[in-house]
Amino acid sequence: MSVTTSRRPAVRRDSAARIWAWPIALAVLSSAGLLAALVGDGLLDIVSWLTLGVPVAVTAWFVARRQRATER
Amino acid sequence: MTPRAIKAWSKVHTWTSLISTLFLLMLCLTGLPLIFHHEIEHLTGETAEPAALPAGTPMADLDRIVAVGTARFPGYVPHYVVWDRDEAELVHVVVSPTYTSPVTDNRLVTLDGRTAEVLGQPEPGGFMHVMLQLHVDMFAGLPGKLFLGAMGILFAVAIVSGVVLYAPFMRRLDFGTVRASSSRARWLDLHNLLGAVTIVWALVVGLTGTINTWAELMIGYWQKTELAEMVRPYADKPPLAQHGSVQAAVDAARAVTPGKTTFFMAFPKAPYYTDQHHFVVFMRGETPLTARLMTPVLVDGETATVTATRELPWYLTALLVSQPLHFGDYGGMPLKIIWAVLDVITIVVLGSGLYLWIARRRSRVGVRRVAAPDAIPSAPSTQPAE
Repeated sequence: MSVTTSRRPAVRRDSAARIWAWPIALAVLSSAGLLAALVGDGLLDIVSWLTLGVPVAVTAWFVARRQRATER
Repeated sequence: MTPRAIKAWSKVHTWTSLISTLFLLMLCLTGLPLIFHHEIEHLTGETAEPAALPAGTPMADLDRIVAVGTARFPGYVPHYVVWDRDEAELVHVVVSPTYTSPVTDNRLVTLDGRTAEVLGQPEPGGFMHVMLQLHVDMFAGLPGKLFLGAMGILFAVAIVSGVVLYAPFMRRLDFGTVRASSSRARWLDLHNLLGAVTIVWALVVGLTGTINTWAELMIGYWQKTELAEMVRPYADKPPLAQHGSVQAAVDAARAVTPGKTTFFMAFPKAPYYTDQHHFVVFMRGETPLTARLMTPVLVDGETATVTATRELPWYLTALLVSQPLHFGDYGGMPLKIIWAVLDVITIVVLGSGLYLWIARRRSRVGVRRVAAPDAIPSAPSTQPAE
């Protein structure tokens, strides 16, 4: 996962894979989470908490990273 | 994507969002306490905790439960009985002044199904009631529902157009980049990041919400078609004067649906789910998948004999399956918390979108005044990437 932030944007290659990798991964995880708890209980509930929790955790991580960057 | 295509999608995104944003903000804000309505009702004492009785304590006679519940509102008649999905010992009785009263006159009494003791009766005008009414129809009945359903469709179009626009905006940025160069850049990046994270959830909750706004129409259609067919032999009979035993009707329904459990029932002459002559007992399955699906069993309101049963049509099945996906009440407390967090993130996406539109307009006016180039392009750069 490439999370090093380039602040010199113009030299980056325009690659669909680079743009869509994260959103697609999050969409697949969210969909799995929404369905898991619907088809089962117990273990599948836990699966749904984890898979739906990941997008939330990712958001928190990126927003927190920005906060640190601004404080510096 | 051609610059023209970007411009067109950008227009779609702006206008679908602008029209729906205020209503969606209202829906997100009122939806937040509704996620936890069960817990809030217990905390505020609106619903008392059921007494601690030994496990396996049998349920009280249903006729007694209905009589006790209805007696709370002298002169009212029972319309429905609902068995609580989460707390098996709770039974809710829905009563109304008459059989033709508007649904807003309905009152709910919650009882302990084992002791027939009243545990609560939510007051109309209470906080949760107002939240629910705002969320469901803004106190405007069916037109309010259909209007909010249309807002849900605009929301879905806004999400899809947002996804289309995501690529040109993100061409030169890594995922999750939040630039600090200006307030507008920061909020644009946050809008993109938070929007990308909530795409699937927001689409699912928005569209299932829209499906829910059609519930009344779907049930009405079912009554006019399939139910009417099932009760045809009763077509010439006068409306039932006095219904027979509720318990006997439920026992009869249970006898023909082994392995299923009671979901809710409609009394003869209630406005929905039934006709003038039948108890209609809706039975549901007991596995997570089948617990949302129900089978109506028609029971003669006088003799307690089963007259018909038939699976629900696809559109009512779709409605029932879509409900948990809207409410987020199908995976315990952790799922409710995730629902709440995603709801708050959606509020930020809506708010930042509105801010970006206002800021862009203001800067456009500024451009006209000082004839200076805009620091941040209002639409993504349309030059080819090097």
